[in-house]
Amino acid sequence: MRRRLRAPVRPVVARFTEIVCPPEVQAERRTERVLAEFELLLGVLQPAARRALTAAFLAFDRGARLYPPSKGRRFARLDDQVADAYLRALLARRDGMADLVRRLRGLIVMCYYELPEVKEEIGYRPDPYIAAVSRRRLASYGAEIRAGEAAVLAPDPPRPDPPRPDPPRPDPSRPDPPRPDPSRPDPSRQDPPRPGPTAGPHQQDQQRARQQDQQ
Amino acid sequence: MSTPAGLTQQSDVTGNLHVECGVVIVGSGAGGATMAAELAEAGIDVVMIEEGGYHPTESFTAEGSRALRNLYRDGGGGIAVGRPSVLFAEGRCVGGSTVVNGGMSWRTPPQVLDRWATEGHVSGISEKEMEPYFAKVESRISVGFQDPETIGRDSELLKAGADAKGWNIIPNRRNQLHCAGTNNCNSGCPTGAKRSMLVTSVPRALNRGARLFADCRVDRVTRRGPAVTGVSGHFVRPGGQPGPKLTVHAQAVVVAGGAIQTPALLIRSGFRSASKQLGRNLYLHPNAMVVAFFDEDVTGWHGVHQAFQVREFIDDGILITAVNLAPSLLAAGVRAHGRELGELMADYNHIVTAGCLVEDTGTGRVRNVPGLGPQVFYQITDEDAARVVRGVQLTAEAMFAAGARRVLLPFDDAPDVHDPGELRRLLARPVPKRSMELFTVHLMGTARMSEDPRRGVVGSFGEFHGVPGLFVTDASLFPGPIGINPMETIIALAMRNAQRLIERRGQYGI
Repeated sequence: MRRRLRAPVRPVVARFTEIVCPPEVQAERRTERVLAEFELLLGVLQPAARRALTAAFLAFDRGARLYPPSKGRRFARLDDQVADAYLRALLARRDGMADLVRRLRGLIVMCYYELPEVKEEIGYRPDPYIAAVSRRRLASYGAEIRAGEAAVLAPDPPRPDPPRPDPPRPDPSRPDPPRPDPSRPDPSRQDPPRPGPTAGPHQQDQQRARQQDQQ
Repeated sequence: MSTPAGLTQQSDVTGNLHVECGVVIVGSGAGGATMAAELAEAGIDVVMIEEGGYHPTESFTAEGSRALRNLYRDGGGGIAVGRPSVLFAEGRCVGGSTVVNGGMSWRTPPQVLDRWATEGHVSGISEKEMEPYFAKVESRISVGFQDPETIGRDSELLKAGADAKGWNIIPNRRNQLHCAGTNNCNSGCPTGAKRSMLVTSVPRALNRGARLFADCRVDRVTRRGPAVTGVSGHFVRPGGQPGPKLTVHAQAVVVAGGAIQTPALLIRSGFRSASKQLGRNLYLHPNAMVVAFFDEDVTGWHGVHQAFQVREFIDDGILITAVNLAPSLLAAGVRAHGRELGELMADYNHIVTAGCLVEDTGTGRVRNVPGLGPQVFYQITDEDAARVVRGVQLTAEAMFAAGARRVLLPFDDAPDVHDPGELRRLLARPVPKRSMELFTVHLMGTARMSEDPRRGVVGSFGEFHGVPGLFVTDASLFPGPIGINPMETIIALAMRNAQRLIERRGQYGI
């Protein structure tokens, strides 16, 4: 596999991983494996997105120098307590930086919870479950399933009637007509109309359309 | 794993290719694959081009990160820029987003069709006119209710909560053939029970002689004078490296890349709309999620994805459902890290994740940014933000009514809440828009249809105004949001538009 995380960003991502993931990440070389997952994810991103992520990690790292408790050190050199405090300080900001750090944190913890032993630890064991319910499905409905799958390639029933001639349409150059009655029934027919306490969400549609017309 | 006849993947191609056909279709999702199957059925020579790879049912596992890499654009991490930004995911694989969606299949509500006809000036779209297409879609992709043994505890708890509140909650209609309830919809259905385009219209189209080029990115729609002549693109090698070129010469071009990629492709190909709506009018049904903790074991990954929908507030533009998330996605979405995250996730099997979808009134925009490609800009309106807050409150109330002991809200700085009273007091205060954690998988409206060229990018049947032979068929067509899951509408419109194209094929020399 192509190694996409190299110095100087790799140690930053590794340290970030140690801070944002649960403490167990430091066991069994999990940090390295989180980085490997992250590298795989980077591999499917557009080059510009990859560069942006790398730059974001580096900015996060260098930005720690401006955080007074860091005493001028980069994030990768901070001890756990100060590193965590720096991360929380950024997340508490009400600007784009907080949003960015939140996204970085999301990506890394997502990779952590993809590790098989981590899934196992929290009781998520989907493979045996999927195998069991798949067997149940075939045992219960095998014949219908085979028939349904075969129908995919079967000839079509007669085509729907072609659309009937359109009724006269409203003249687009004229003001919009009133909006339709929102209490019309749902097509599902299992879903009887239930009037809500307020009007539907499109009260402003006509006004917006008129504004667009005027622009 | 065998590959179907008619499929060409990047690994099969060593040099540039030039292909001739009647109709070339860009995209193999709900719109593109359906159009391909219909046209091929009518004997038209069809070529489909899909940017993503071919991943058959046998390759689908519960490994979420693998699915994100293989089946989604940009690993599922699209961002609509705004305050707050909105995370979005688009499928990018043979079958498109139908491979990774939840499989909800609902007809377009009649009032929405009426609105599109009257306010949007769209012809041939009344409930009566659409009825045969909906019926055909539902037969093609096996739309129906779940078998009861597949309904999981998380869905039962949502239903219990809604019932306790006296709300209207209904079973979901899904495109499935005796779904096993693996709860793996978003990573690809490992049994093939979900009747995505991968297992329905794509094989049907190939069986009728269509050709499919996977791993191939379309760079431009080509034209000579006023008429389109085909498309040009290139195969994508593993790691994203550009491979050989593909040039397709065709009498008609159908673009079905979804509401982000479709306008982006048309804009970079030099097409302009007199309506100035190409790339604009983006609706995205903002979603917000609450995380509810129960004392009982829930094991939300046992049982089908979204068995029910709360329809009580549909007229207010709010839809509520329970959506179990894999641990990795849940962890990425909650506001915790370090030891706190570990403690939260240790309770994974006691969690219900429930979400609300909001029908939006504001719109966003898609633009091609040099060096970055298509970028999405969307700013939620005050009205929609208020609807998100209400949706979250209602969702959390349902969870408490079902017995939740703690609920996490999708707002920064919001403390955990432990009872409905605390919830009401908290949300009685204004919630800043920037603090909202929003996401979506429903993107619509960026090449909207209308008979009026001053209003719509394409006509009522998807043909680009002023460009004969250029069609759009995906959720870009929608003149506005539909407030429910859009897949069945996309497929029905594709069938309807295909029929119109077939009836007028002589006009295009097909």
